[in-house]
Amino acid sequence: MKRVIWWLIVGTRGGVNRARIIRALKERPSNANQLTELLGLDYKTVRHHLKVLRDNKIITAAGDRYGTVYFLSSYMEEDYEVFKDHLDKMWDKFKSEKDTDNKEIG
Amino acid sequence: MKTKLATGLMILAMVVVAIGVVSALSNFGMQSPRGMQEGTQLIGGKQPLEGVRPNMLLVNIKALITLGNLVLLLCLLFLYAKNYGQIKSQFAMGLIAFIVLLIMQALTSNPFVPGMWGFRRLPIMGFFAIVPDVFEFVALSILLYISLKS
Repeated sequence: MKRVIWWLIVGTRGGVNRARIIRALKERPSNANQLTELLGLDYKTVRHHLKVLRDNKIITAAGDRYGTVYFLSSYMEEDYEVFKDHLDKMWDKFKSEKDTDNKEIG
Repeated sequence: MKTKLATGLMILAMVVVAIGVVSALSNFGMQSPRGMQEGTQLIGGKQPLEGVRPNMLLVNIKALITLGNLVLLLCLLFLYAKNYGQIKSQFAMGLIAFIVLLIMQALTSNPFVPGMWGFRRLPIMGFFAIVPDVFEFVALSILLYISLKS
């Protein structure tokens, strides 16, 4: 399972965004709209990443079509410690870049 | 689970080594120009490969395929290096090392590359010299496809 997660994070084109989604869902289970807003991505992109993560049993979902809330699967929760440091570093970098962008716009 | 995997890998390694040793010791009935003593006369009085000229079509096809492999590998390297820039993990580093080594392999497989070091004679080869490169090209295409698609 760990190898699948590593591959999906660092071995594919959208891996970094997927890592951000995993990190965001660890903090708080969210729906696709909330993730779109939080990560500043296209809604369709988020849906695609969520589908890939769900197909690979990294996340699970609950609820209706539009209100579907996603959270980490038990497999991912079990292995999360392995990825924690890497995901935290990446998340901090992403947050600081986002804050800088917001300040520049403001 | 890990013990099973390690045992399986060890058995596989032993089989590969055994095949390697057997193939290194045996020439499978083929006449090897290198194995012959100097001055060995063959039927018709010709030295092995004497007067045989390289098939330029095959040489060019091999050069083209290895170039294709190189392009695919550079695309993969770009993709993995970009991800490594964001997430510096051992797995990502391993992927980069794997691709860099394959780039070296693709470079040295090109029949024109030895010319850069002064080896002016082109290799004499048959159709089977191209087959491994074709398989490598297909394998790399699949890897690049799944890396881009998912």
